[in-house]
Amino acid sequence: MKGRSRIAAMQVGGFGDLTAASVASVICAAALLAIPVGGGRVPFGILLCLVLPGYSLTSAIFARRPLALPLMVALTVAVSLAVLAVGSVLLQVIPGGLTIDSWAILLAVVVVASCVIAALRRDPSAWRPTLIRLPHGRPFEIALVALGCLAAAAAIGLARVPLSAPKAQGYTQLWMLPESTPHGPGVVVGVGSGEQRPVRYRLHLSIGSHTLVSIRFQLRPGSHIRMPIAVPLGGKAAGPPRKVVASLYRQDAPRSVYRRVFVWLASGGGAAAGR
Amino acid sequence: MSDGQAAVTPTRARARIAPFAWVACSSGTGLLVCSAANALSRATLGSAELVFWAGIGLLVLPVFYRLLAAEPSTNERLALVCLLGLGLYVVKFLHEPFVYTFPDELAHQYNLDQIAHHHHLFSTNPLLPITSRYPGLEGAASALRDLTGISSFAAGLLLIGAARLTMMVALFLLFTKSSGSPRIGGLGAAIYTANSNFLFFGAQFSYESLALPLFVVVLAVLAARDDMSPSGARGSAIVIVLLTAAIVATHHVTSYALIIVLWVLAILHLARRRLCAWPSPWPFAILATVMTALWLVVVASQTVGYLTPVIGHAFSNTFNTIAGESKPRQLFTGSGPATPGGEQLVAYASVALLAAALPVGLKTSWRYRSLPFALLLSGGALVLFAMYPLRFAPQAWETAGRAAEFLFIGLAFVVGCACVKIVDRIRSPRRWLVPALVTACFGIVFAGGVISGWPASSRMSQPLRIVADGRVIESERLALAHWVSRHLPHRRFVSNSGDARIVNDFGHALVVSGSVPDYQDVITSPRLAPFETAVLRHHRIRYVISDRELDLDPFFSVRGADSNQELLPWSTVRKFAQAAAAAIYDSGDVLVYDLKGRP
Repeated sequence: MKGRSRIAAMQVGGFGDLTAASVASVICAAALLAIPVGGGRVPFGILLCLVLPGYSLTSAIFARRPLALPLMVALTVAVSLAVLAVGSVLLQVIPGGLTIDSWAILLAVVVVASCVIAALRRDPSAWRPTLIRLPHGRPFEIALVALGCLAAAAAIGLARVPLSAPKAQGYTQLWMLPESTPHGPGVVVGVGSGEQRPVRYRLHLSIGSHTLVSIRFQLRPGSHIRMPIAVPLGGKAAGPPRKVVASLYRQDAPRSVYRRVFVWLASGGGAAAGR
Repeated sequence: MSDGQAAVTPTRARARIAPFAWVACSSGTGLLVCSAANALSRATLGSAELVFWAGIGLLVLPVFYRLLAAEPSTNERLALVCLLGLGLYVVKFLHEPFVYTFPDELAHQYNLDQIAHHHHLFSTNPLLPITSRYPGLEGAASALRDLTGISSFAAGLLLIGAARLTMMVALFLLFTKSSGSPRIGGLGAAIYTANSNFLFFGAQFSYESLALPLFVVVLAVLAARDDMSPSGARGSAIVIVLLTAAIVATHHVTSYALIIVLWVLAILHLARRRLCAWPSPWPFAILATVMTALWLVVVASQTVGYLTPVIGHAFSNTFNTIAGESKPRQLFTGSGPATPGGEQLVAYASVALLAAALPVGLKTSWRYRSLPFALLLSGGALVLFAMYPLRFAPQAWETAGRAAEFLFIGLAFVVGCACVKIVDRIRSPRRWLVPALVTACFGIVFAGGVISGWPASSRMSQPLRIVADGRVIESERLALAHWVSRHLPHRRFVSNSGDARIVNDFGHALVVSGSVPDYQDVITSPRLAPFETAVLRHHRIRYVISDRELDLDPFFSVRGADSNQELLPWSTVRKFAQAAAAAIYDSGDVLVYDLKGRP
C-alpha cells in the first residue's frame, strides 16, 4: 500500500499538468478559506469551480490517451459544471450544508483524488499532452484583435454607466410607520425623491382636524428625509384608534394632494399599525 | 485516430489569422454598436432599433461568411463559433447590465439567495415553486458566489457564460462528428444561434440555460465514442452518467428530452447495427430513465402538477383549433405593443428560407445515413417543421416554442449541410457572390429568430437606474423593494406577480402572488370580497402591495412610449383603505397597505 502510494505520488510529480492541478486546487482551497470575502478571491474561486474539477476528472477518465483540444475544452467546463450541480445535492445531506468550507474541501478533494487516479492510470510512454498552439500573427493582425477586444470592453463599460433619461417618469415616495417615542406613541414619516429635478414640498401631518406638523423642504433627486414625530393622543384611558394622516404637496401644485398615507394609533400608548 | 480526434485534428501548418482578426474586430465593433443602441434606449432618446440590428449584423454576419469558406482550419472554425456564442451572450448582458430583470431570472435568484441564507437546497419558492425542486443551477451558482465572494448576479453571469461556451464547442463537435466535416460543424453551430430562444431566453439565469448545454455535451460525447479506443469509450460512460445526473437535478424538460433522444438513438442503433460499430446507448437510456423517475418521485413530484396542465391544454387546444371549435392564435400578438409589419415580414421570410433549405439539407445529410446521429438530427429537423403549425393553437404555441430549442439542433445541422452544398455547387464568376448571398439569407434567418423570440418593446435595455441632477436614482419598483428591505424585511406581502418577483429578490420579504390560492383577484377585483379577506387571513398576509400597473417589468415608465399597458382603476388600487387597512406607503402608482392597520 505504501509502495503504491509512493508510485502514485511519483507519477503525480512526473506529470506537470496533474501536479499543477493538484497544487493549484490545494492553494485555491487554502486561499478561499483564509482570505475574507471581498478580498481578491475571484481568480481562486473561478479556477476551483469552473476549471480544475473538470480538467482533473477528464484527465482521470481519459487517462490512456489525450483528448483532442475541442473535446478537452468542452469537457473541462461541462464536467466542472456537472460537479458543482451534483456536488450541491451531495453537500445538502452533510451537516452544515453548502458553505464556503464545505465547497472548498469538496472541490479540492475531487481534484486531488482525480489527479492521483489519472497518474495511476496514465501510461507515461504513450502520453502526449494536449497542446494549445497559439497562432503567430503579424503586428497588424494582433492590433485588429486587440481593437476588437477593446471595443467589446468599451461596450460593457458603456452598458454599466447610468445615463440620464429625460422621458423617464420620476416619482416621490411618502411613507409613515407607527413608532413609539420617548414621549409616547408616535410615527416616523419619510419622503424620498425619485424625481428628475429638485422639487420643493410641503408635508402636512394631522390627527382629526388638529395639525401636528406642517413643514416645507426641498429634495434633490435620490435624497431622502426621515422624521420621527410624537403624536399626542390625549388622555391615558383606552379609546378608539385615531387616524394620523400625512399629506404631501408639491410647491408647484400647492392645492392638490400629491401623496397621502395614514396609520391608526390607539390611545394609551398602543400603536395599531406597527411593525 | 482515437478519443475524439477523428475529424478534429489541429492544423499543424502555420495558422493564418488575418481573416479571423478582421472578424474579431468586427465582432467587437458590433458589440459596441449594440451597446450604443441600448444606451440610446436607456436614455429614452427614441428608437434605436436600426442601430441595434446594425450591431447584430457586424457581430453575426462576418463570422458566418468566414465559416462558409473552405479554407479555415478546424481550430479557426472552433474559435469563430466560440466568438459568436460569447459575443451573443454579451449582447444579452448589455440588455440588463445591473441586475436580473427577466421574470424567470428573478425566480431563480430567489432560490440562490435562499441557499445563501439557509445553506441548504429545496427552500420554498413563492414565485415559481417548481424551480426549487431542480436546484442544480442554483447549487452550482452558490458555489461560485460563495467561493469568489461576487454577487448572485455576477455568479449567474459567469456560470451561464461558461455553459454557453461549452454549448458552442459541443455543438461544433456534434455536427462535425455527425458529418465528418468541420465546415458543417461550424456552420451548424452558427445556424443554431438563429433559433428564436438563443439570444435572450436561452441566455437568462434559468435552469434550462444550464441543462441544455449539458444535454448537447452528452450528445457530443456519445457521437465522439465512435472514434474512441475501448478505454476511451468506457471513460466516456462515466462522463455521460455524471452529466445525466447533473441534468436530472437541474431541469425537468431537458431530462425528458434526453431520455427521448437516448431511446431514439438506441432504436436507430438496433436498426442499423450492421452499418456502424458505434456502441449502443441503451444502458444510458435506461439509466437516464431510472434517474429521472427517481428524482420525480422522491424530490420533485409536483412536476407532474406543473407540466400536466401545460401539455394537456396544448393537446386539447390543438385539437379544438383543428376542429374549428376555437379560433386560431394570431401570430405576433401579446401583452406589449404590436410587432411592426416589417419585422413580421422578416420573421415569415426566415421560416420560408429554412423551409427552402430543408430538402437540400436532408438530401445532403442522407450521405451520412450510416451515422445514427445524422439520422437523429435530420429527424429532429422534420419534427420541428411538423410542430410549426402548433404556434397557431392558442395554448400550444409555448410548448412548440420551447420544444424548438431542442429540435433546432437538428435543423441547424441540416441547414448547415444545405449551406455547404449550395456554396460548393453554385458557381459564379465572382467568388464572393454566392457566399455573400447565403450569408445575407442567414442574416434574415437570424433576425427572424430574434423577432419571433422576443417582443420588440423589450428587445433593448430599458431605464432602471438613471442619472438625474447628477445623482443616480432607481425605478419606482426597485425603490419600493429597497424600502421594504429597510423597513419591513421578512414580512408577508401579497402583490401582483411582477412586484412579487422584485420585492422578494431585492426587498428580502416573502411576497406571494398568483392564482392558487386566488391572490390575483385580491389585487385586481374592484371590491375586496369576504372570501378574499379570508384567504389573506388564512395565509397570514399582513401587507398588500397595490400597484396600478400589472406589467412584469421593473423599469421606469417612459412618457410617450408606445405601450398598451393595462392599468387598474384607482378605486381598485385604493380599495384596501375601505377595509380598515392603513396606507403606509405611496409612491404614485404603488401603494402599500397594512391590513392590521385598524384594530
